[in-house]
Amino acid sequence: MTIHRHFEDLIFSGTSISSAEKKYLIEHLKACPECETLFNSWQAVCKQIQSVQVVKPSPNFVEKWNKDLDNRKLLARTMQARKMLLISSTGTVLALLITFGLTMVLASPAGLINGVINSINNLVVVINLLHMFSAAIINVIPPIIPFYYTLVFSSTFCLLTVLWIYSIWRISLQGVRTK
Amino acid sequence: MTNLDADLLKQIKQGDDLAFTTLLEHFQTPVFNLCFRMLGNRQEAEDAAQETFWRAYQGINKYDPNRSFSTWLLSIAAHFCIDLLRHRSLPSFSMDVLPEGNIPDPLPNPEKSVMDAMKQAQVQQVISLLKPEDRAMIILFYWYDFSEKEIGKSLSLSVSAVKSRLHRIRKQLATLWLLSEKQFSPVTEGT
Repeated sequence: MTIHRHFEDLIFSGTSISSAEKKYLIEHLKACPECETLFNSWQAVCKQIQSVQVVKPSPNFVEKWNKDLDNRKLLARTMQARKMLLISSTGTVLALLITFGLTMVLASPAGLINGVINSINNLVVVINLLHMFSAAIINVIPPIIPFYYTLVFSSTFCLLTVLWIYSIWRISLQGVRTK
Repeated sequence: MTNLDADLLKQIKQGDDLAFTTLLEHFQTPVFNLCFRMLGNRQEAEDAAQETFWRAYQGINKYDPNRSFSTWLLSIAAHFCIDLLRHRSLPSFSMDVLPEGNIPDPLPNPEKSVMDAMKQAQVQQVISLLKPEDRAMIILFYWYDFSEKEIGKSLSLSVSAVKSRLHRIRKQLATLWLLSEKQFSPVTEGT
């Protein structure tokens, strides 16, 4: 068995063997039909593998690629957007669940109701304050800052907001190559 | 063309679809041939080749220009075909081993042509009996002249693992060839 193994190593190693090893192998093959069959079979496979023809694709292969490219891009973009949406919604739901779970664990039902009412109350107060603050600003600013500067400031603010939204959109498309 | 021209690569990275089409024209035959040898079916091979180019198109920025482009591209094709074969419930072998346009001219020696076609079908069948990864190794090694190192890099294996697996696959191929001779011999004897 070990002897066979040695000769099998010589037959299937894929590297060139020395002339002494070759002579040794030939002598063994003459005496061992099992190894001889394997050797001849491997020689036949090798010969056939080397003579196999290269198969060409259909003539419209490139045409098909060009035709499908736009669809593939659109599909990839849609998938990417869906992935982003799924990740963000899963993250939001998880954050809400964790917050809710922690609140349930840490607070009693009465304390929880009280906390919710307080939060709503605080929110209303903050909204009122913001409303009063913006009203005061609108009343005070025009005499101090000319209309032209207010317009520039508002436009810059709007532009930055648009840029911010655009950046988020670009990040959501990362990984999708587009022209 | 085994490596990619720097200008062409730059154009492709900049999103020039026409430049990518040039690349596709150069590499369509080796990629398709690999897919065909892996899958044994013309239609599947064509879809797999298209998918390979799409993956290359998407991942062109990840390509390392110091590495051979054909090695990178064929690795993508091999991986995709391995995945496809793993998802197949049953091993399949199509008699579509010599597609139209590749059948040797029956003249002047029709008998020899038929014999050659039969032998090629036999090779394809024997290869289709190998495991997907083994199939890729043999195809890359014998038809694409990949070195053991390149195969190792492509299939995430060490060089010694590639060597020992190639040794095992060669023996397996020899055994499968013997078995297939019985299947193919009645036809060949009759011709």
